[in-house]
Amino acid sequence: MTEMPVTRGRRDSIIGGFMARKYANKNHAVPEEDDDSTFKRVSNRDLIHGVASSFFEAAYQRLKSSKASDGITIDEDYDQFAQFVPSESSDGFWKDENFRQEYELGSELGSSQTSEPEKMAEKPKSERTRGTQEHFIDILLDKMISTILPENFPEREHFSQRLNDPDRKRRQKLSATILASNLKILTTKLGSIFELQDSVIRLVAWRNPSGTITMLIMVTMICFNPIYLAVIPLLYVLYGLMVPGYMHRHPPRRTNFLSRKQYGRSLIVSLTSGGKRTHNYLNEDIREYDYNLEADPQDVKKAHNIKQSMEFVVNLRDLQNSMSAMVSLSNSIERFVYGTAGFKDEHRSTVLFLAGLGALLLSGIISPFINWSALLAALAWLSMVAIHPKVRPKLAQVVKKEQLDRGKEALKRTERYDVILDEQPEVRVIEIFEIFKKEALSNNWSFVKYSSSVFDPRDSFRKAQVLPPGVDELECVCPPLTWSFDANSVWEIDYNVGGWSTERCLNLQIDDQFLVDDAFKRRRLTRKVLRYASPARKPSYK
Amino acid sequence: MPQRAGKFHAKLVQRQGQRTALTFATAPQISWTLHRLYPLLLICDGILSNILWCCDDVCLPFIHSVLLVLSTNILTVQDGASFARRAVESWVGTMSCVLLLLSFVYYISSVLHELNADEPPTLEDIIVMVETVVYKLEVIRDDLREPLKMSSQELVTVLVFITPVHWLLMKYLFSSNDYLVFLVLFCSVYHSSWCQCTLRLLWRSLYVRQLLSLVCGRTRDAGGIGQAAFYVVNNSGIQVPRYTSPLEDLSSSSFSNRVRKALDGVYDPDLVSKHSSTPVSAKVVEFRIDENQRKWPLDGWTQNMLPYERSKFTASQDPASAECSSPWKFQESLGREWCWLDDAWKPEPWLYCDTHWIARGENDSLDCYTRRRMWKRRAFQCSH
Repeated sequence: MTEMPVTRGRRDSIIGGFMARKYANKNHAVPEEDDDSTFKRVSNRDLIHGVASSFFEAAYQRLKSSKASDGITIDEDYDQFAQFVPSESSDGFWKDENFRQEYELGSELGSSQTSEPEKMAEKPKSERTRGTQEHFIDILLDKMISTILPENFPEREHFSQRLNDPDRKRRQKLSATILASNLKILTTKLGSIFELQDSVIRLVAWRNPSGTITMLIMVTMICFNPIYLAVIPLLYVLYGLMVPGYMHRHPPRRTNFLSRKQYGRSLIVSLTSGGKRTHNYLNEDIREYDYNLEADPQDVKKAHNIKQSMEFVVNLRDLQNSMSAMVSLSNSIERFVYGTAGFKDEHRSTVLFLAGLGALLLSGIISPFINWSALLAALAWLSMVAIHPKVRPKLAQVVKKEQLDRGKEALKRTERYDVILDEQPEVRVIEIFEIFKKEALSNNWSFVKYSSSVFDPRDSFRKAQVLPPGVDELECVCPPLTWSFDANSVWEIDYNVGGWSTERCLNLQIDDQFLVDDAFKRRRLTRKVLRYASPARKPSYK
Repeated sequence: MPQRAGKFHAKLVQRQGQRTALTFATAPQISWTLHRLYPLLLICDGILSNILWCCDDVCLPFIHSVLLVLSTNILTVQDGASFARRAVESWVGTMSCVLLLLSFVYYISSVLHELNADEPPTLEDIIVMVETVVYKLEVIRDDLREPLKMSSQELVTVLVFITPVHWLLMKYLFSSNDYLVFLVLFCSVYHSSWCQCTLRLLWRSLYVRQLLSLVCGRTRDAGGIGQAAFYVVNNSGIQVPRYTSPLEDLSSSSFSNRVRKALDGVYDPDLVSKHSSTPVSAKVVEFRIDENQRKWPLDGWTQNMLPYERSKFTASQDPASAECSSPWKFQESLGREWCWLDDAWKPEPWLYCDTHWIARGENDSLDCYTRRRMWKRRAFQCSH
């Protein structure tokens, strides 16, 4: 129930599977509230609250015990979790080549360069300590945290700075109980916000046509006199909050007699109705005729409790849905910020930028000659009329699909041929060392490897008596990530041996193109690499 | 149930939802007439709901008012505006006028159409609708009661007061167009519960009340009325014997004692027989002064009055409740021709009133906001 808002759709099945298995194995592990003897006495509402709090209680206990037992720091904890995370985002958007960063390690260059033995050793150990005696809630919690925590740790300084910030330290520590209680309180109080959200949806969908027209009238008023923007909130406070409060305390005598049927329709409503309205706006001041003479106060209380618990569940569901909506909204914002606005697709972004610039200039030039109030008001009315459920299909008929397609085609052609991407690429030089080994008996040199390491006597690999990482053939040498070889260049031998050896402070013997020591000799090969553009920006948590 | 709670609570009287079957108790002619009246009732109800803003959809009255305000554009002439603006405004005005009329016609036709399509209403339905219409009319009358309570004199004062204000406002602040729009809006909003609540909340302010009393000319009278208002005449000419030898002082206590006796109808044979006395005609009156108090939520009963209403002490007999000093000060200011019959001022018990000084009873209750009591003392005056 309560955990669902945090998990995303794809994970539901995994967690569901876990829960099913764990329930099958451990019947004693279910929370206390489900106990049969107590079940009958707890009300529906208590049960829901109880289950919610027990889940968070268990989470809290788990956090506490894990802290007490191994006393790990948050970094270690993070490392531990980071390895359990399966490659998180299958989302192709972030896997795009344009997002590949310099610090990201390609799988082909692999882990041989930076091997962290401790980390490798810890993995099986930690897996062992987690053992088999887990509560399903623990697994859930782990899963939750693994979804919350990012895959990588790109900006450690930034992160630790935030942790050590005295301002943050003074604030409350992360606590699952506080989180849970806050969630519980918020959930009960969020009803009005969701109601507002629903009413906005009704307004936009023309399911409350008179409300929509009222809204449009207000928008028009604001357009023609922007001071209403400041007045309307005050008006709301006075007449949306205070007068109803007054009316609640001192009801004006306005009884609504219930008639069998409401006769007559309004022209405005039947003209503009976009669907069945599902909500009646009953005035606070209209008291409905009280037919329920024999109402028992106990029954009323019970009904109130049931209504309250229903509301709680509904609110929780709405909270979850609005969270998912927020996630998808932020996703699309990100897509815009890092994709379209981040020059991921350079053609499209260039066209967009030029169009925006043109619009900016145009609006700057012609704005004094336009009655903006009338234009904005007309736009608001037109757009609302255009999305009216009855008008939209007709509009769609008018604007034929082929026309749209043709427009798209033209746009694509513009992107393809009217935007010229011929900037000078970035030019850099890469180097590789061709290492030869002196044969033990003869004075001949045999080829060992192409490596980025000079492999001089002070080299760490040399000291460890292992060969440096490298390849055997020149064709296997790849350019650095995000770079590509200049096809018109070839590997060149660097004859200025003195130059590059003194740069590296190597006082070794120079033999023509080689730098020679007692066992090995190497020569430096260089080649030009090109890059058209640096990788596009990418958020830290991706 | 009440027993469970420990205390027994009585129930409020509810209007009975079910009524006895009317079908057989009503004459067919009346039923038929009511049946013919039903569409008219429905339409009336719809219009009244719109005026009271109490329909299911509160946005509709708002839209109607906006249309009404826009329609006033036809009526107004704006000389300063450009031709295009005037053209647009009168077009919008005409269109909204037409839309308003159309929607009214549509409403009527839809009512008739739905009535025809639906099964005929029962007599109970009709009666409920009659009650609804009557109730709504009553609400409208209640809303208008306070403003219409003004006397014709007050109305004249208001008109005299407001006319120059109007003239100034229209001359320097608002155009006639704005004024018309304001008037139309005010009229269309007046019966909504929001407006009524606003008025009631405004009425809580002392300054608003003061302003209104100023406009209506309901200011406190600063006395100035003759002493006739301060007393009631008990006996306009009672014959009281008077000693001639020696000539008795009329203000002496023995004489007033005799006046008292004469009032009570006690015959004093001793006096009549022994002394040849010439009877004196005495006018006996009772001075009555009201002491007024008002209840304040925090301080309880105090002599703090509203600035425009009666003061602490008023003359009871004066219809306008003229101001008066306290009884003890009053007696000092009284002329020498009056002689006291009673020894002291006697108070009557408090009479509790509502906020308009209309008596409610002798006990303080929730709806009592003011109280008054009468101080009485009798006096006489001899005519020679």
